[in-house]
Amino acid sequence: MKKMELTCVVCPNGCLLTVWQEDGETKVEGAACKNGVAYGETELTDPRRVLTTSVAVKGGTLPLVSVRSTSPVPKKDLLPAVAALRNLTVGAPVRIGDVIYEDPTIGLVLKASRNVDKA
Amino acid sequence: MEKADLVIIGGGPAGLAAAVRAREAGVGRVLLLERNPILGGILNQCIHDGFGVIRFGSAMSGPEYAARFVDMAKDAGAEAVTGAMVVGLSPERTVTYITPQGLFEVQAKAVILSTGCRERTRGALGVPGNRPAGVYTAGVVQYLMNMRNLSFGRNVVIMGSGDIGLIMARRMTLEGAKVHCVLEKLPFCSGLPRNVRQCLEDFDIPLCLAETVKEIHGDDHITHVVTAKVDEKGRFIPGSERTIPCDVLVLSVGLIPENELAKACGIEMDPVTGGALVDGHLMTGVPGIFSCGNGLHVHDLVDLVSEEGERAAEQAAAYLRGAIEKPMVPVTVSGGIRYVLPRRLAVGEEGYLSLRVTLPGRDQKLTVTAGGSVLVSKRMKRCMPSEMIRLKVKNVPDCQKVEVSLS
Repeated sequence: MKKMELTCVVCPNGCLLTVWQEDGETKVEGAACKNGVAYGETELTDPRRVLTTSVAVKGGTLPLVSVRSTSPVPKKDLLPAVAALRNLTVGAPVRIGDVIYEDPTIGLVLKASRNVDKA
Repeated sequence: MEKADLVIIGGGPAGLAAAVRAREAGVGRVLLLERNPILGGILNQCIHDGFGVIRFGSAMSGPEYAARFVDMAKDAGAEAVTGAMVVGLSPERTVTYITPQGLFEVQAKAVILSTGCRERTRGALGVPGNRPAGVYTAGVVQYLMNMRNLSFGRNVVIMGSGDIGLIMARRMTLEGAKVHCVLEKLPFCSGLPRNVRQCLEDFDIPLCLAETVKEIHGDDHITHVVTAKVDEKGRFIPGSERTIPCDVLVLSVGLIPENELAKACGIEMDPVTGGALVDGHLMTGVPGIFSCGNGLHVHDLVDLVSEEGERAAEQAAAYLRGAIEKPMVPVTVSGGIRYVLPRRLAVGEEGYLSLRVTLPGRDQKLTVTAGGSVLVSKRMKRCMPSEMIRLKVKNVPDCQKVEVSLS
């Protein structure tokens, strides 16, 4: 199989990966860490991304709390997942690490990535 | 007058890291001045992830990364004043600042400038057309969306391929807007390759290279832009015009280190980076005043901003102990390298070089030599102007000059 070049998105290093199939296995070269190898292995068959967005907060010092998925979710599920969050509001205070939203059907767990105090 | 051993101007990632390390290095009173109501700087509005991979081994959002350093600074015993706008810095290190409580002066034994950068605006580009509403810089869009919960419009054109523009292309798409394209005047992208992948390609947003905005139209609010391709000299190619209807134009056309204080203090600047000229100790031409972070030169990674802040703090601590005087050797660069920082390294110490190439390239080699002997050699699979390269010289020899070359 042809060798493919991919830019790893796991971290800002953005390693230039070379990915190819050999003896039924996916080989990844050029990754500086094991997360990059995992990214290279899944990117061609089951591309996933960490979702970061924000959710409305009521009674807080800020109108929004930023959230981050605890693990990457299938790329095709990103837009529907964000759409599902539009009508969600949580109450202040919110602490980093609080679970804000879950969708087990796509393995999505969103945790707060910012502290929002009570106004 | 109020006194401090070290005053740090700017409470973003560079200033916070400097405050922590200065306290760890035994500096007495460390005073951190921040003009915003909260510490953390631009990290507070960067809700995307990827921060802290080098530093903490996990990818965090900007606010999470900032929160860690705010806690560390508090634990280390650094004093922070928020809502404090520094309006003056003298070569004798008197710092003047304003808070809602009034005007204050503090006499510092050493000062670290960690003032960050700001965005280039439409005025700097000279795009002809009306002055309608709906034209924003990418960082302003990011602030208003992520901190203020404001929405902008449905049809977006992004001018310039800087990282914040790419990040906002994804953010606005997720929030339901249609991002028609990212226009880049240069024949290559200014943002990181990973952001092209995850912010544009993931959402089928075209990156149009060698094309830029020629005219902005609209009376009260922007209605459309006219774009055109440019030739290798940046001149519009007649007949290549396109009309793109839009209600938002986002500019992501570069960041400029913010150095009004440094300039007013008489600190000599580097015209290429827009930051201060510093030596191997990150000290400016004015003794006891140091510079780091995006105010010194624009970085790609916050992890490296923090690291530079820490090095500035270590050097400031050494300066306060009277242990910083060292002979320095100049650093020179060959063609193909846009800048190297610092321009002088201290003999007998570790030397940290940051540099950027002028043009994209493949399979190149970076070499650091002194008097004919090779100090560092690094093979580069891919060189991009958007990616800062760092080299470490283990022991800077006593020589005429250190040369960095790309071949």
